[in-house]
Amino acid sequence: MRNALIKIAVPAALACGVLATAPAFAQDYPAKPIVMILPNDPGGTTDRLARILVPHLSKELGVPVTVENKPGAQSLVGNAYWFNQPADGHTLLYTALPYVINNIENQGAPFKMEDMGWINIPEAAQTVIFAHKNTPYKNMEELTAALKERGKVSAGVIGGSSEHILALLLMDKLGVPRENLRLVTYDGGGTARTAISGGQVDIALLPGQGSEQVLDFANPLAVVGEKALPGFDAPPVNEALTPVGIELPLLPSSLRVILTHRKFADEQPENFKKLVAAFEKVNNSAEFQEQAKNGKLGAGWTGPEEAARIIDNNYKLLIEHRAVLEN
Amino acid sequence: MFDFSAIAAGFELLTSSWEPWLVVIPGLIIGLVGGALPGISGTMTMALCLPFTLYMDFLPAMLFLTSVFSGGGFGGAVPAILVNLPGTTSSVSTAFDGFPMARQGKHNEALGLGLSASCFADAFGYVLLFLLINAAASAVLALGPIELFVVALWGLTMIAALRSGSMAKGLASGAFGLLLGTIGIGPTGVMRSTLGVGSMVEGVPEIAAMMGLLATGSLFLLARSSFIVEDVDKRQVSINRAFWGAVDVFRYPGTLIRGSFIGVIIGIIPGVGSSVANLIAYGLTKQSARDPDSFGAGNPHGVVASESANSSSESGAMATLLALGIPGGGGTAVLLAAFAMHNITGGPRFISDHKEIVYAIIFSNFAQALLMLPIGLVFIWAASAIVRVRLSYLIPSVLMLSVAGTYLMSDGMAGPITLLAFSVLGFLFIRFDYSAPAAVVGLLLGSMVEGELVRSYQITGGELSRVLDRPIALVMIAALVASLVMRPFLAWVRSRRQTTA
Repeated sequence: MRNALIKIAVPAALACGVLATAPAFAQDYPAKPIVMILPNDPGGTTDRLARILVPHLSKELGVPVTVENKPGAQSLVGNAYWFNQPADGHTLLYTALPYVINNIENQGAPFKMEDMGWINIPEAAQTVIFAHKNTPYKNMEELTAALKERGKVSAGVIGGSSEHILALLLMDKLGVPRENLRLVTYDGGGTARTAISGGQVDIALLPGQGSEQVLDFANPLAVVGEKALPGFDAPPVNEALTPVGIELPLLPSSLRVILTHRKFADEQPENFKKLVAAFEKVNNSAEFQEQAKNGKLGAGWTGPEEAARIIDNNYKLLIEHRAVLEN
Repeated sequence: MFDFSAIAAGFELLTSSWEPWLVVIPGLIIGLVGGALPGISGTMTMALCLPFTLYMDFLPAMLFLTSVFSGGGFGGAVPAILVNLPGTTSSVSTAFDGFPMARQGKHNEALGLGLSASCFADAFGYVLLFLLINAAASAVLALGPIELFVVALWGLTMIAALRSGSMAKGLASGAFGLLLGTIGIGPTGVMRSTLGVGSMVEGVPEIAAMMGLLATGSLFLLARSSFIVEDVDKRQVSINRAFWGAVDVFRYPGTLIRGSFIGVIIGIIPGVGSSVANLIAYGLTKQSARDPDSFGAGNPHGVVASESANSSSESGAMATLLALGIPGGGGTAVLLAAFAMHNITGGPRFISDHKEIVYAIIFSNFAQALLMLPIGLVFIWAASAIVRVRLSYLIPSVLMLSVAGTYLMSDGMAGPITLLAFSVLGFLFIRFDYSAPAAVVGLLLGSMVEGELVRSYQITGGELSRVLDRPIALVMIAALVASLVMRPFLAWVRSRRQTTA
C-alpha cells in the first residue's frame, strides 16, 4: 500500500510543481490568450454581442480571444472573478453599469469603481415595461391599480439591475407595500426574457434593446425615457403615469461596458492603447457592424474617455437610488 | 405537423454539394478526442473550434460544430470505461458499470456498447426533435421556477439510487455534496464559506472535484494491481469484439429507449444538460431493474442508460436553442454564438421563417450518428491499447493529464489543488463505504436547487398555496412522490399478500 502511494504521489507532486513555476511574463502584449468574462447566463444580449466580437478581436490582436460565462449573484460572481485575475490586460470584462454599482454598494464587492479601466460602451439600453398578453393590463394605470392588491401581480427582473430598482421605486411611489409585488430576480437577460415569454411572470421590466423577441408574447406598456423607443409601441413612462399622479426617475437601463483592469491601463499605457486601438478598429469595421445590425445588437463606439464621462454622469443618478436595493 | 416543402428544401440544402460534408469527419474526431481528454469538457472543445467557423459559411460551420458536439457525447466514455476517469461530466455514470466491465476483460464490448448507444440515441433524439419541436418550445416556456425546482429535486432523489452501501451513508454523502455546493456566492449575493480565498467565490471547481471524488481517489486503490485487466488472455484489443459489443445494444431495447427519452427531456430543460441526464438515466434504470444490486459490478444496462441519455440530450438542447433562442448549456451556448455570427438567432419567428434550416440540421445529425459508428470503432481500437500498459506507467500519466486538464479549466492552481483535496476525499469515501457518486450529484445539482428554490419563493410571494395554481408543477410533484414511494409500497403490498396467502 505504501509503495503504491509513493508511486503515485511523487509523480503527481512533480507535475504540480512543474505547472506552478510557469508564470506569464507580459513583455509582448498580448502574450497569451485573452479571456472576456461575462457575468451572465449565456444567451443574453451582451453574450451574443461578445461572441460576435471576439473572433474579430482574435484576428486583430493575434491571440485567441474567448468568452467565459460566470453567472451568479447579480453579476457579482463574474465581476469578482474578473477582478481577481492578474491586471495584465489578458482578462477583460463585459458587464453593465447598474450591476457593478450594486455589487460595490450593497454586496461588499472586492473591487471599486477606481479599479475599472473603461474601454467602450457599445450600447446604452432603455427599460421597457412588458405585460404578458394573457394579463388584462393595457396601460400603466391598470397595472398600478392591480399593484394595490397584495400578491396579485408577479414581475421578472434581472437581479441588481436598474429595472430591479425601478420596480421597487414604483411600489414606494405608489405608497403600497413592496410585498404586494411578487418580484422574481433572474441571473441574466436570457432567462428573464424566457420567463415573460412563457408567462411565468405577469410583467417584466427589461432592457428594451435585445428584448424584441418578447414582443411575440407580451405587450410593452411604457418606456423609461423622455421619448418613445422605436420598435416598441409604448408611451414614455411618466406620460403613461400621469393619470396615477406619480413620476419615476428616468434611470438608465443597462449601460453595457467593456473594460479591463485600471491598473493595466496605468502601468502599461502603451499596451492599453494597443488594446483600445484594436477594439476601435474591430468595432467600426463594416463586417462587425453588419453582423451586429443583423443580430439587432448595439455596437456603438465611445472609446475610453467618453465612456468614463457617460458613466460618471449616470453614476450619480444610480447612487442616489441604490439604497432601494438594500435589505 | 410535416411541412413537406420545407423538408425537401432542407434536404436539398444538404445535398446540393458534398463540400460542406468534408468537415463532419474531422469534427467527429476532434469531438471524440476532446471528450476523451479528462478535464477538457465537450463545451471547451467546441469553444476552441468556434474561431475556425468564422471563415466558413453557415452550413459547414453548423455541420462542423454539431459533429464536435456529437463526438464529445461519446468521447468521455472512453477513459470512463478504460481507467474509471470520466472524460467529461456527461460520462460520469458510464464509469460505474463500464470500468468493472473493463476489469473483467470486457472493455471492447463495453466501449462498443457505449458507442452504439450514443449513436442510436443521437439519431433517436433528432427523430423526436423532428416530430416535436413546436411542442418542445411550448414545454420550455411553461417551465417556471417551481417546475425547475421539482426537476432538480428529482435529480437529487437519484442519490438514493446511486448509493452502494447503506441508505444512511448514501444520504449523508449526498448531503455532503449539497453542502459543498453552497460554497461561494449564493443566489441572493451572500458569500459563504469562501475562507477569504478569491478563487472560491464561484464555488468549488466542479469538474476537478468530480474527477477527484470519482476517479483519482480510486486510482490509489487500483495501484495494487499490475494491469487494469488482470488476466493476460483477456487483455486484448479487438475491434471485432467491439463491433459485436456495439451490435449488442439491441439486446437492451428498454433501457436504450428509456435512456434516450430521458436524455431528450432533460436536454430540453435549460441549465440542466447532459451531465445530469446521464446520472438520472442511470439512477432510474437501476431503480426499476429487477436486480439493482448488480449495477456497479458490470451490468451493461448501466452503460447503455448513461451513454444513450448523454447523447440524446444534445437534440433536446438543440430544440430549445432553435425554438427559443435559448442555449440549454455550454455546448448550445457555443452553437448560439456560431449562429449569431451568421445572423441566425433562433426563436419562434426563426422556426417559422427558416424551417428548411431546422430540417437540414436534423437530417445532418442522422448522418453524423451513422458516420460516428465506424469512426468511433477505429477510435476505440486505438484507445483500448491502454489496457496493455502497465499500471505503474499508466496511473502517473493519467494523474498528470488530469492535473494539466484541471489547471487548464480553472486557469490557475485552484483546479489542481481541488483535484488533490478531492482525491484524498474520494479515497476516504471508498475506504469507509460512502457513496462518491451521491456526493457528485449533490454538488452538481446544488446550485440549481438553491437558485430555483429562491425564485420559487419569490414567485409565490412566500405563499405555498400558490403552488396549487400550477398544474404542471403539481403533476411533477405527484410523479416525484410516486417514484419515491412506489418501490417500498409495492414491497409492502407483496409482503402483506404473502402473509395472508
